[in-house]
Amino acid sequence: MSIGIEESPMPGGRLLHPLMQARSDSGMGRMLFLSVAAHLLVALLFSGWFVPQAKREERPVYYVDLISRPVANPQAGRPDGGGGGKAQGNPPAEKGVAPAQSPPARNETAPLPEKVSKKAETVALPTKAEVKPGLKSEAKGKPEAKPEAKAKTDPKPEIKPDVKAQAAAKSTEQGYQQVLSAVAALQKKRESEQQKEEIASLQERIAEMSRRRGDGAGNGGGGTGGAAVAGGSGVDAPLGMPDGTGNEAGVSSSLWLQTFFRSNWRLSKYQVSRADLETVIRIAYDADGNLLRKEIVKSSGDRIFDQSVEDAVLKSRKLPMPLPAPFEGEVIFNLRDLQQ
Amino acid sequence: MEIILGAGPVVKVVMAILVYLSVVSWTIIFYKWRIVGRAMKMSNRFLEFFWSKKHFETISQNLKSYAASPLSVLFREGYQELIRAKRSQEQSNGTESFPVGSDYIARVLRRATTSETQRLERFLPFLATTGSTAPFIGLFGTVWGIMDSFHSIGQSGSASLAVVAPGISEALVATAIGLVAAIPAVVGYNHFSHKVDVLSGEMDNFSQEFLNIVERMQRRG
Amino acid sequence: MKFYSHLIFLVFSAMVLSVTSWSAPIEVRAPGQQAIPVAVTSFLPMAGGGPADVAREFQEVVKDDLEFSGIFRFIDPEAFLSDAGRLGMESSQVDFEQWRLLGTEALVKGGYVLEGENLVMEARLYDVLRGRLLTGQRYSGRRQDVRAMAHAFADQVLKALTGNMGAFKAKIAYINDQTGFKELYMMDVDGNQPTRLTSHRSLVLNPDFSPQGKEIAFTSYRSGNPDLFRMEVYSRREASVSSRKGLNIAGRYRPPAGRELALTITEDGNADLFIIGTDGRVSRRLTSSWGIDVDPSWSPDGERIAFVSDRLGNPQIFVINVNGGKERRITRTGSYNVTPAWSPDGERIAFSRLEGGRFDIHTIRPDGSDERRLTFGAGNKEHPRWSPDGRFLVYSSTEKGKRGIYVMRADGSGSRRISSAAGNSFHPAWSPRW
Repeated sequence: MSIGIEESPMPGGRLLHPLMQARSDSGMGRMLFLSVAAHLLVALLFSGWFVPQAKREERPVYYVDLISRPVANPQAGRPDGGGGGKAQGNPPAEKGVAPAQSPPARNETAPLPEKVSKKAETVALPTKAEVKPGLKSEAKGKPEAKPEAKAKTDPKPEIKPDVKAQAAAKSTEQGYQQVLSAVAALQKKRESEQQKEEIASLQERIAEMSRRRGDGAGNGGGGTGGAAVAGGSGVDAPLGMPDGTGNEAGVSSSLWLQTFFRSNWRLSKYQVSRADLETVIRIAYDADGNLLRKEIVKSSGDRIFDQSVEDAVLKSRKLPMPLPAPFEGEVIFNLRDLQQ
Repeated sequence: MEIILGAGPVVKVVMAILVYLSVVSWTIIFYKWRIVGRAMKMSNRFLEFFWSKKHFETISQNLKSYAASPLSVLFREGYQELIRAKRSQEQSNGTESFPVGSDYIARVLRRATTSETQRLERFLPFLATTGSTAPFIGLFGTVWGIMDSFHSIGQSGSASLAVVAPGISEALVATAIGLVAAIPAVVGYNHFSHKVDVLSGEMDNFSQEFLNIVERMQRRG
Repeated sequence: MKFYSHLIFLVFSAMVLSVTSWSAPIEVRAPGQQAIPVAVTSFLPMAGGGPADVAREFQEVVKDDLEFSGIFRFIDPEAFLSDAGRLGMESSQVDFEQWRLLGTEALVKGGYVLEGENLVMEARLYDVLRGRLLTGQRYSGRRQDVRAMAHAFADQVLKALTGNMGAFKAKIAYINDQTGFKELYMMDVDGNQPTRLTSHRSLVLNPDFSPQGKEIAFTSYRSGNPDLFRMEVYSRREASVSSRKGLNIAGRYRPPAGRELALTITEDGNADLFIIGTDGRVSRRLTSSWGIDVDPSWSPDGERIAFVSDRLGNPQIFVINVNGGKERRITRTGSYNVTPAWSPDGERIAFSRLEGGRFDIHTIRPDGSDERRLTFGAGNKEHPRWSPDGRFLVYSSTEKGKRGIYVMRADGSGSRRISSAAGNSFHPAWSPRW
C-alpha cells in the first residue's frame, strides 16, 4: 500500500462528502449513476439471477428429540445431552429428580401443566400410561429406546402427577441450572411477599437437588458426557435448542413436528423411481395435539409417494404431547436428503 | 446474498459503509477517468495546435474547443496577463521595463498551474482513504462477527465445526467486501495521481515555453 | 447532489439491512423409516390338514423375493399374536389392531388347499394402517408350481406397494460349461430349477429373450461358424437366423414387437451392426465404420441402439438413432467400456468397464451424464442385463473364483449369487415376466 495518505491534504468535509463538492462538476451525477448501476449489476450477477450458481445443498439439522415437549419459547443451549443421556439409560435415581425440576416458565404460564395434571389424576399409574404413546412411536424406529421404557415403568415415589408432561425430563444438571437462573430472576425483582415465598421454596429445591446431584454426579456426568458431542466442556451449559431464544425447556413446535413427521414417514427409495418428488400438505392441530384438518396443497404426481405422505399424517393423527398453541401450516415432504 | 442478509447488525452496518465507500470510489474513478482522459487528449491536441500557429491571437480565438485541457486555461490566463501588461506598458509609454511584465505572467501561470492541478487532483484523496481504510473496516466487521459467533457457540455449548463454520464464514464476507472496495480504489488512486503528475509536468513545461515565447517577442519588440 | 448521495446511501443501507423473514413451512427432507415393516405369516390349510411344507416353501420364496427388493423390513414371526393363526381373510376378519401393535404396515396372509398333486393358493396383502385389502390372488396349479405361485404373488405385492409389477416370475437364460461344452441354460430368478436348453456340444453364447418372452436368440458354433439361432423355449425348436460368413453374434430382439434383431455381422470383413428380420433378411445396415461395432442394446422404444465401438482406438459406448442420425459417444471416461444394456425405463445404460485389470459394472445416462459405479471389490463383473421391471441387474462375476451369475439392485446394493456352483456360468439374460 504505497499510496501515502499524508501527501494528500484531507480536510474532513472533503473526505466525507466529496460528492457535495461535485455539484459544480457536470457529469458527476451521471458517473454516480453509472457506479451504482455497476454495483447493482455485480450484486445481481452474484445473486445467481443471471449466472446460475452451483446450488449448494444445505442440509438442515435434525434434532431427534421426540422426548422433549414442544413449547412456545424454547430456551437456547446445546441440543444434545438431554436425549443422549437418557438413551444411555440413566438410573432411576436421576429420573426421580426430574419432576422437581420445574422450569420458571411453569410458574407463570400455568395453562399447560394444569391441563396435564387434570388428565393425570384420572389415571392410576400416570407416568406409565402417559408416557407410552410417545415411547411407542419412538420404539418403532429405534430399538435402543427400550431400556428407557423399562426405567420409566417403575416410577419413584416422589414423582408428582405432572411428571409425564416432562416425559422429556432432563438430567439433574439441567434442572439445577434452571432453578438457579429462576432464583436469580426472582431475586432481581423481589417485589412482593409471594415471590419471596417462591424463592424460599425454590431454594429448598436447590438444597434437595444439590444433595441428589452429589449422589448421582458420577452417573449423570457419564450419561451426558458420554453421549454429548460437546463432551466435558458442555456439561454445565444449559440444555435447549441452538436456535432457541426463550426460557422454556423443550423445542419449538415446528421443529418438534418436523422430527415427529419424519419419524412417522415411511417410504423406501425403491418404491419411487424419481428423487425430485415433493408433496405439500396443509395440516392443522389443536393445542391438545389432535389433527383437525389435512389437505394436500401440492401433489407430487406419484401415487405411492402421496400415499406415503398421507400415511405419515394419518399416523400423526394424535400427537403424543400437547402443543403450546394450535398449529396450522404447510408441511413439505420431499426426498432431498435421501442419498441416491 | 443469504450470507449477507444473515449477518448480525454490526456486521451489516460495516458492510453498508463498505458498499457506500465502494460506490463513491467507483463514482470518482469513472469521473476521473473522463476528466483526466479528456485533459490528456485535449492537451496533446492543444499543443499541436499551439505549435502550428504563429499568432497568439488566432490561438486565443480557438481556445473554446480545447476547454478541457488545463494547458488552454494556462494559455488563457497567460495571454490575458500579457495583454494587460502590454496595455499598461503602452499607458506608461515604455517607462516600465519588460522583465517586470514577464514576472507577472510567470506568477499568473504558476497560480493557474496550481489551481488546475488541484482541480485534477480533487477527490483523489477519497480513493486513497478508501484504499487504506476499507480493508480495516472490513476486518473490523469480521472480528466483530467472529466474536459474535464465538459468543453464541459458548451459549449453545456445542463446538462442532457445523456450528462454528457458518458464523465465521459470514463474518469473513465483511473482509471480502472491504478488499473488493479497496483494490479498485488503490489502483485508481495510483493511476490517476500518475496521470495528474504527468499533466502538471506538462503544465510546467508549457509555462516555461510560454514565458520563453513572450520574452522572445518582447526582445524583438 | 448532496440529496442524491444521501438517498443512495440510505437505499443501500436499507437493502443490506433488510432481513427477509417469513415463517418457513416445515420441510421433511427424507423419510424417517426407509423400509416397510411387513409381516409374512405362514399360510394355513383351508380344507383338511395338508403338509405344511408347501406353505413354508411359499412363505420362504415370497420372503426372499421381498427381501431382495430392498423395500421391506420383516417383523419377527416370534412376535406374531393370535391373528397370525386365524384363517379369516376378509378385511373385516383380520384383527388389524394386533398388527398395528407390532408396528406392521403391510401384512401377507393366506391359505391353501392341497389335494393330491393339485394345489390352490389364496394369498392376500393388507394395508394394516388403513385396515384394507391391497391385493388378493388365487393360484391353482400343481404341487411343483408353488415357487412360481410365490414369485407371482411377490410381483403382485410389489405392484401394490410401488405401482410397478415385479419381475420375479421370470427366467434367467445363461451359458454354463459344466458338461465340458458351453451350452444354454435357463433358471428361475432365484437360481432354482436350472435346465439345459441346448446340446450343441460346441460353443453357445450371448442369449437374448424376445420381448414376448418365450423365444431365445443366441449364437452357436454348432456348424463351425458363429451363427445366430433362435429357439422356442417350450418346444425347444431351433432355427438358424443368420449364418453369414464370419461372425453373426450378439443378436438382440428389437422391442417392443421383437420382429427384428440387431446383431454384428462381419460378412464384408469388418464387424458392423445390422438389423435383420427374424427370417434372416437384412433390413438395414446401421454402421459402416472401419472399427469393430458390437454388442447392440435397444432402447425400450426400439428407436435407438447403444453399442460398443473401437473406432476411436479403444472400446467405448456409442448411441445411434436407428432411423438415421449421427452416432454419439456417451462414455467419456475409462479406456475400455463394453457390453451396454439399456434399462427398461430408458433412463440409464449399464455397462462394464475394465479398469485396473478388473471389470466393474457402471451405469450412465443415455446422454452421457451422471455416471455411477455399482460394483466394487474382487472379481470381474461383466455382462450386466436389466430385469424387465428395471429394479435389478443380473451379471456374471468371478468374485468366488469361478464365473457365476449374480443379481443386485439397480443401485448396486444387495448383490447375491444365484447360479449353482457347477461349472462356469455367464452371459445372463433376464426374461420378461414368464
